[in-house]
Amino acid sequence: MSRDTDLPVQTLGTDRQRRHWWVGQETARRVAGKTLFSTDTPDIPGLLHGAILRSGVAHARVVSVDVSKARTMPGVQAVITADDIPGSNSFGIVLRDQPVLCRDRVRFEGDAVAAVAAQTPEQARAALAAIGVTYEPLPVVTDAGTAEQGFALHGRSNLLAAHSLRQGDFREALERCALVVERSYRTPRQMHAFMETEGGVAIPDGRGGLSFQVGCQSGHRDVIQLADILGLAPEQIEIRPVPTGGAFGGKDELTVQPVAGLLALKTGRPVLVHLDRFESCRSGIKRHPVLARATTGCDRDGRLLAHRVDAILDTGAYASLGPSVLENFLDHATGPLYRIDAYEVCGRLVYTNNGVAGAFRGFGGNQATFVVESQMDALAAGLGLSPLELRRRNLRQPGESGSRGQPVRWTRPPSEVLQLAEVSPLWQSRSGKGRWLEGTGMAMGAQGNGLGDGLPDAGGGRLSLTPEGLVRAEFGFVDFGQNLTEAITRRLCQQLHCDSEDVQVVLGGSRGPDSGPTSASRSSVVVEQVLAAVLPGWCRRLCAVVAAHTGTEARLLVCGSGGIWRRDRKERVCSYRELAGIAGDLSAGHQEDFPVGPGQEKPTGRFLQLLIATVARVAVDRLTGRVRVADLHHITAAGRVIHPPGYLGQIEGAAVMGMGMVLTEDMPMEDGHYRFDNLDQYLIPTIHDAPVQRVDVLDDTRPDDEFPVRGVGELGIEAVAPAITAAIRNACGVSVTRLPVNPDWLLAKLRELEGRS
Amino acid sequence: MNAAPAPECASVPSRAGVRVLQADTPEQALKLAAGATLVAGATWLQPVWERQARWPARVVPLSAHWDGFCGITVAGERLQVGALTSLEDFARSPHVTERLPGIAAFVDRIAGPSVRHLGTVGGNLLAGGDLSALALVLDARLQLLADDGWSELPLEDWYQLPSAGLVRSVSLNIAPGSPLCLEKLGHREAFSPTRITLACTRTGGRQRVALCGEGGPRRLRDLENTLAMDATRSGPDVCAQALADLDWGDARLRQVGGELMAHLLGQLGA
Repeated sequence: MSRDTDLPVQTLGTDRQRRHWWVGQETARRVAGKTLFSTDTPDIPGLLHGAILRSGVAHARVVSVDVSKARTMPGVQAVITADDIPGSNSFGIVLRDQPVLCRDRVRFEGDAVAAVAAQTPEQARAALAAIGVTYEPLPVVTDAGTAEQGFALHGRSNLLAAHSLRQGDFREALERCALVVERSYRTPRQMHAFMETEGGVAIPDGRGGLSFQVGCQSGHRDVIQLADILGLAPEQIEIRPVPTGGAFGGKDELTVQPVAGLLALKTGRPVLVHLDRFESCRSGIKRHPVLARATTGCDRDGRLLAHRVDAILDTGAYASLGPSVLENFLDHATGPLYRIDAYEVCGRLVYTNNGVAGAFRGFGGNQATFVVESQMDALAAGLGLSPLELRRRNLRQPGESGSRGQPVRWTRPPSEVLQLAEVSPLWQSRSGKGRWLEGTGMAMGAQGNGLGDGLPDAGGGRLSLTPEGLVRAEFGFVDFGQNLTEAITRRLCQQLHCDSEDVQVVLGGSRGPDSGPTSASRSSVVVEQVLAAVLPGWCRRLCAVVAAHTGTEARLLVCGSGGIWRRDRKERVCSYRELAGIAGDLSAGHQEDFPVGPGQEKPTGRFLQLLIATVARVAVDRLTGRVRVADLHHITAAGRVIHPPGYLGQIEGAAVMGMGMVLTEDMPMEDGHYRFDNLDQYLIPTIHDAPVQRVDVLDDTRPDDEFPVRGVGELGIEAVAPAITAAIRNACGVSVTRLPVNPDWLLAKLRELEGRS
Repeated sequence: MNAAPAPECASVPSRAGVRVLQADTPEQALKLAAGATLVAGATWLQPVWERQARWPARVVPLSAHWDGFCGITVAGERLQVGALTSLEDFARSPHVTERLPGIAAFVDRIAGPSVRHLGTVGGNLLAGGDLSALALVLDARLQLLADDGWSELPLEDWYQLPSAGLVRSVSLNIAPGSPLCLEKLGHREAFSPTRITLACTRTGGRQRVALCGEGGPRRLRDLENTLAMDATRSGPDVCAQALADLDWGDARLRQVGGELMAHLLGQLGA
């Protein structure tokens, strides 16, 4: 409990807490640089190096591809084109519209046209240079706003998807408004900038199949797509569990797997394909840039009456997860936290020749939250109300349905999150004179776990006892540094009263249980579901085996440290290792659908909700327009904290990522070409740019709650952008509607406000 | 890099194909430099090579063991800095922290730790990096080895007409009682290429002003002369005009530079 409030809140990561934190083996290995990732050059006999020929042009017909010279180059083992694909030459999670290797047309500069496997990377690159491709240029579509009138990239139109969500009569509600604000917004094409660029190895299994050690986010789903491409049965493909060096959504889609697999099949040898940073920048997935026009109105008392958003999302040359991102954008654009009489939110997802956009932490939701929260601040300013007061008057209360009429389950009321934001110490200090103008602002965000909207969203896991006496937990999720291994270990330790040394967590194997994709902040919830369903019965089974073997009454036995204990004498009766020796198969699995709201024939939106308020303190330089984010204070309501360092890392890390989107990160295009191709041009925040952060956890969820935990992988990014821009406005009076903030633009606006030319 | 741009060198498609030529002396390095690339910290060169996927066929690494090429000494009112002194060693040197306070914090903003440990003072100066504005206001002089032997020339002259040769060291004027003001505007707060870096000092009652960044390194002699005649003419517009006179094309950056420069001169006056 906090000393300053009656609410059940605690600050995470205090020095005292940190002294008692458990650091898992996996974390220790990772920090020590001992974790082997999929692209750490594997010691695999006969390994070949693959390389991919990218088009380098934004839009063109492929007239011819001549690989004859490349095939004769030193060290070259295979050169492949579209003609060498035994199965389907297309992939894409939502819509299979992206060619593995382009046959007759390229649609962005990162399109793959051919690939080479050679003895060394240098030989592979040299062979790529010897491939002759003749292109016939096609009109280049670069402006998302006019893309629908441009030359169609696919079919007859560049409109990939158009959706709208409506409630009430917007026009009627608008007429009743005493105040209406109408603004345009723009958010950037952000890059994931994971440490390990896309890559992995495809290894022939000697029986016509392949196994992959590759950075990915959903082994089971990838198997299905790869089988279709490679002309194999899904059973012939295995994704092995190896850590991935960061993903953030950027490895949700297939990356190098198809080409590595094709080359491995062609040569019969293992093939490593690893994009360097330049190729990753040019060909990898990015966050969808959004252009939005928002109209929001309220009555004299600040009660929200009408809200409309019209948005265009640039998905680039291929769909990837764009349609789902659009859906999540619209969901968040309805202003899920607030009661609004009537809304209309409309979005159009368009193809352009600007790279490819897809999944990215926040998944369209944080772009929409930037729009909605900025509108709230503009209304508050118009009414002369504090932004917090306007929110307080409009927040939904527990028991109310969500913005789309669906049942929602928060862990604490939104008003409590706001209440804590209101007493943040960041509001206290402020100086309005001198070179640096300080300001504080806040924003709120709501986020749902799971794929949502009734999409198939099942997940499972399995428990077993290894011959060595380890409690093995298997899930199909991928470990890319989100502390999932530690969270599962800790949850098992809590429930079995065992030690972390008793637990072995195996993640990411496609031959293990299918947990569904490692995305949509769903992993923690699925793990909790599986453990809740399996553990009680599994423990009883273990105890029953020991009871039968030792003659001790089963009711006296419990799982514990190192084995099965007799609870009345507090002595260990049988070690897990002994138990593994005397018992047969003790595995138990479980799979179920992701939780959805009760009573919904076709689920809408997301049921399990989590909340955040981010308070930001910034300093704006009156001389240069540059912005320093000094502090971020997050108040989170996301259920029980399983692994405190992991929770803290997710919230803080996501917030810094969001800060990058506000201050520096964008991948601008020029005539269909990326202007940046490396992290010396595309600037992400460094540790020196990271602000002081405080993460508060508002929670008193009971252990027996049906849904005690939430996934927090995306929560930290939800509200950080509008919080920072609100702080900028508080500091200097300038409203920011285009991200990232351009310091020169901000300086010019400052000069206008100060009456300087 | 501690030398003027080398003539076109043969290149190879892989790092593994690079031949490293060891020179025992600077004179030998200079001879080997024909058809090879001289390399100091290579923090700037490496990304260039990687981006092009072409590496020089031959490189000649410069040696910090050569006399005078590394380390920091004080001789009278001048600080002698070996060209191969790392940015980190420069920033942490007791000589520097004592005589040029604030430099450590400034160098921290130039680059991340790895680059600071590899990158050299000479490389930064010859590339027109952040240190060049500082060096220009401190009347930096280069000790150069060329085909015709050792020579010394002002850094300002070298920027006007870069000459081939090997820089052994740079000497900086550290006359006592000369306040120094520095400011950097990058694309982000830390470890960013500079948009504009400014340095001002006052020696013998005369203000010295220099800058570097997107418009290149320059000593602002005209502005200094203006200020010498009328110290009150240090407003943002006058300073911005000084940048315009240097053909800095970005109008917004000129404005920002003018604001910053006026601010620094104000600090200097205070």
